Amino acid sequence: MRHRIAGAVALALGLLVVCAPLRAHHGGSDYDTTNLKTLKGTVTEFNWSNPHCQILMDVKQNDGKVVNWSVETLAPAVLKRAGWSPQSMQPGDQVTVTVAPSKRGTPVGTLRKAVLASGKELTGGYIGEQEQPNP
Amino acid sequence: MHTRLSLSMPTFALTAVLAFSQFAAAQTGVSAQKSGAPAAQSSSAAFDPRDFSGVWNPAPLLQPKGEVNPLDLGGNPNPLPPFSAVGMAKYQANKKFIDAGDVLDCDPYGTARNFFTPRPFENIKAGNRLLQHFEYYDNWREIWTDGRKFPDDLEPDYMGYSVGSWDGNTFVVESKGYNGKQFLTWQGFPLSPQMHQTERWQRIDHDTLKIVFTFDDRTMYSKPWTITYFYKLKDWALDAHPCTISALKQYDDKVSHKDNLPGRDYQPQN
Repeated sequence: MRHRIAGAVALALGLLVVCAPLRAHHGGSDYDTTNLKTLKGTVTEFNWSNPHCQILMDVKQNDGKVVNWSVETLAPAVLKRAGWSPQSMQPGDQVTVTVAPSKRGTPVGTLRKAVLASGKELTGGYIGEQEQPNP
Repeated sequence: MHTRLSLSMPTFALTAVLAFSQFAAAQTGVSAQKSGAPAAQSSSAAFDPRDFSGVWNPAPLLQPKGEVNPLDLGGNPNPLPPFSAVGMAKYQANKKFIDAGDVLDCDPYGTARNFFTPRPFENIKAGNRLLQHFEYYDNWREIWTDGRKFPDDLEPDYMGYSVGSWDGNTFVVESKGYNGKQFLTWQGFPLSPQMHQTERWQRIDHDTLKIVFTFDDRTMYSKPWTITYFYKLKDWALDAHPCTISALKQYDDKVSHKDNLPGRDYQPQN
């Protein structure tokens, strides 16, 4: 059990290192990376732009109300290396995205994974290198 | 933080590898990103220790533990650099600025912050200079290699003025002439026009570039301090996108303001 907890902590720390610059533009918003949220909805905008691309999508809540979410991603170059293109999403597309939501409770999140209208699954991309120190 | 990190390091290292494995997988099959250059070879391949040309990607996890981590963005970086009183006050102000979601418009990132941004850069030999092209924000730097000294009339700039020389197979780059308007790191560690930055570049194998940065800025710091960073050779083509004010405004409109952050509308309170 202790090992599982240690593993979870290590995962969180690892992702913090890997994804650290995510919060650099978004200031101290501190996305909740431990409680990911899955959103199913309709794309209203997909902005392929620095500093971070943005996916805007209408999501129907349990009460029937439609809320427009803003999902920021990493920069275009990072998405491209992860298999994305500016045409990956179009307004009207039905998509499912997994986000780390803003801790403020606003309809804002940062992308972790997306299932496009075509069914293709893409990550939000990664930055930096994976090699470990030389012994 | 560092103690906890050390205790769980074996698990952490494994987890980091797993996290990065998706990144590595994402690199395959993206032919549009290939530069047409020969694929990066194994670390044991022959190499010219004085040739740094090519595209290099930062490897933050290779930084020695215990050093100031330029990507420790958890809000309480530990250890901190040896701030002077002026430097600490400037850092605190910069931290509030960053926490508000503000950015320095499209100002060039300077040399240090570009090196610590986990995005690739390309080194290009150009006669009496080594050119550096940083993907993020599309920034350029020139390092003069013709033996010249610093000009007496340096014009302060974001990217400074850099000269390079050899110490054996170590490329020693010295930079001055910064305008002090940028951050040294992503956390907002400051620099002033007094900054004298020294970099010692070593190609330690075919795929690995090691750079030891020494920051000597007695306005912001009480003594010189260092960061050791590593970079891995890639066969990528850069995909640089220049920053534009309109893109920043769009980001604020679509993300920052929706998350109740002022973004570029931030006004510091005295």
